[in-house]
Amino acid sequence: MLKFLSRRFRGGIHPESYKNLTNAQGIDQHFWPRNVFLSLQLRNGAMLMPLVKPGDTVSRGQLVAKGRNDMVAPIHAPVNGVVTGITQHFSSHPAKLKCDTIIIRANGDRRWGESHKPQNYLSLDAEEIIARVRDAGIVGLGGAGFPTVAKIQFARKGGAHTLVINGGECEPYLTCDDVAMQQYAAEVIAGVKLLLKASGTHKALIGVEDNKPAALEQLRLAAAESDEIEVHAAPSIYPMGSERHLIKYLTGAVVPAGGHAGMLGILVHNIATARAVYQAVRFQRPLVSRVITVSGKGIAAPRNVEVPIGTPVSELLEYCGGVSDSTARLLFGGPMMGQVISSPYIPIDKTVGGILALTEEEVRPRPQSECIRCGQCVRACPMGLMPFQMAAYARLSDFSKTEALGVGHCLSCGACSYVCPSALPLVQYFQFAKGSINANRLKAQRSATAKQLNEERVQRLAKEAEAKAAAKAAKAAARKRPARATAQESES
Amino acid sequence: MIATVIFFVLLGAVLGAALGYASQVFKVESNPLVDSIEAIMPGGQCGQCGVAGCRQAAEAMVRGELNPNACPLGGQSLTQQIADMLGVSVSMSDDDIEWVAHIQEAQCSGCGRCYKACPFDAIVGAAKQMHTVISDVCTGCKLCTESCPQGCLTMVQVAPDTRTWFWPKPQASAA
Repeated sequence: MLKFLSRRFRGGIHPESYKNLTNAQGIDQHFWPRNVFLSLQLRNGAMLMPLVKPGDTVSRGQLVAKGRNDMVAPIHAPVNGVVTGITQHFSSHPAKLKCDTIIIRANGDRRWGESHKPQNYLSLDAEEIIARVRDAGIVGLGGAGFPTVAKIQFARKGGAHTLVINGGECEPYLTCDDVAMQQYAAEVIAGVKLLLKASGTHKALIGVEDNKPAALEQLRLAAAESDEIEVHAAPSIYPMGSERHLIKYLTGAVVPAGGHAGMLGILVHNIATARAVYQAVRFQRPLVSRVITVSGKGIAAPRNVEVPIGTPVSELLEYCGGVSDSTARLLFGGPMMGQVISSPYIPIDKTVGGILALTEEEVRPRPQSECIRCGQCVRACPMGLMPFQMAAYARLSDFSKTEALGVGHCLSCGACSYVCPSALPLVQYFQFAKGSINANRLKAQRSATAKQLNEERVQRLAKEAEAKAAAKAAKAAARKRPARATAQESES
Repeated sequence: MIATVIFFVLLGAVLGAALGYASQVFKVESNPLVDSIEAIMPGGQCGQCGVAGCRQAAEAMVRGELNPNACPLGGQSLTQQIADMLGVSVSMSDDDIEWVAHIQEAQCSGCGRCYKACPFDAIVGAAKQMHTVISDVCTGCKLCTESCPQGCLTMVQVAPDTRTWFWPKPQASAA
């Protein structure tokens, strides 16, 4: 009991889960889009180069765009069809930003373009597994979207010893990982084994919250014969799905502030990523679809759907029976950390785990009032920060003080906003502060570059002028020499 | 010929040495605060703050005649740094508009005047060839706007992009 107490992290909340809307129906595999829109710019700004042109016929799983290095995962065609254009279209960024997008009109054919001979995938060595993961364009499916191959390689280089598999799905409503674990536990475990081999880690800890008993049971069954894989039930506290909190619970180790799990020799992957790794290594199938929870009381038929990447939100909503008139808000992700969907034409990308249509009743806007300094946000904050104080400084745009209070460590989990009795938009203030600090840093960098360029230019111009003057003087001297020579003669 | 070259080289060396010596002997003590403010300014001498150049602006700021937020190129981060150095508080406007130069390349005659006007080498091109702006480097100082005889160089507002966009400040409480 003492051990249990010492391992639990501080802070956290218990929001109502609403997971029973979707967690018992399995995964709907029948959805197929009419068009897919593949953004050529990732959310972090990295660009991809298209390898197809309008009019090309593409097959499912064909490579259509690639990045400059391993830090940008390649994109494959999620459907069979024809490229109808490469134009500016909404990306899944919350600001309605547009970027170059490959548009593919899908036909009804769902077969893979290329099939590979079955082979014993367990006999592949680490290098081959890594190569297949790289070619499959797998990114972290938990939400961050970091390329999996880069993560594995960092872990190999850093000599990681433990693999933590994140089965924590703490956001209310979302059940895509839960049902995937229930339905594909064997694939998840096979993926974990491949990840262990590829990353050179010796032990895998799978952490799943205890509000998913069916998933836990299936995983335990599948992992029963593997000594190196342990399945643990974690208490259902929000945000248990945050990697540093899951690590704290499973291993007792604390990821240093501002650091990452790799410093402790721990590699973290989501369970959906593990399954994608299995698909990529065994069948050489790239990551072209993912399971998405479509839920909320505004959805006629909430369920988990296997969706090809690039499907616009509107087509998916239509497939799930459309949204009701009382829908007040559409969200990507869960209600705690999700982002508002600004247009129904936005395509989903590899990192979207859920689409929610929340009704007036679920949104329940509360009137904002002044901070009463009750300290509930401090108690709820899983990072040990002081949200009310940071928000006060962020409101005054005093970013140096906000940063000194540790806004950079904020997870944006929203626990503080959830518990605030004055309904202050605390986490919104932190998003704003973090964005401003980042923008200011970029601007300072640009200023420094501009200054350096200016100094170099001044020096260059001075040198040019000098060279010109010297050339002119030499020329003039050469021209005047005979005249001066005669003058000297006459003087003497 | 050789005598002339030697003469000019010697003349240059002597004069240079004299100047160097003079700069040591007759050195004017300057305010270190002005120096440190000038050091963080962009240094484009664009004059958008209303005084002749960056040095003069730094001096005016130290004297208290110029607001620390006068430099439109440096933006909020520079304003904050200068205000911290001077120990004054400034009111920050949350929406500072950023500009970037844009050349309509189809109309460019390749005269090269904009290239000469740019203090940051943010415009590239060669004589009688098309010129263009490296928008990542352009500080939006507007020094080039008057230089274009074709009128094809304009300032446009910077479009938000995924690296720089962030959520706006939440509305202050109504109650």
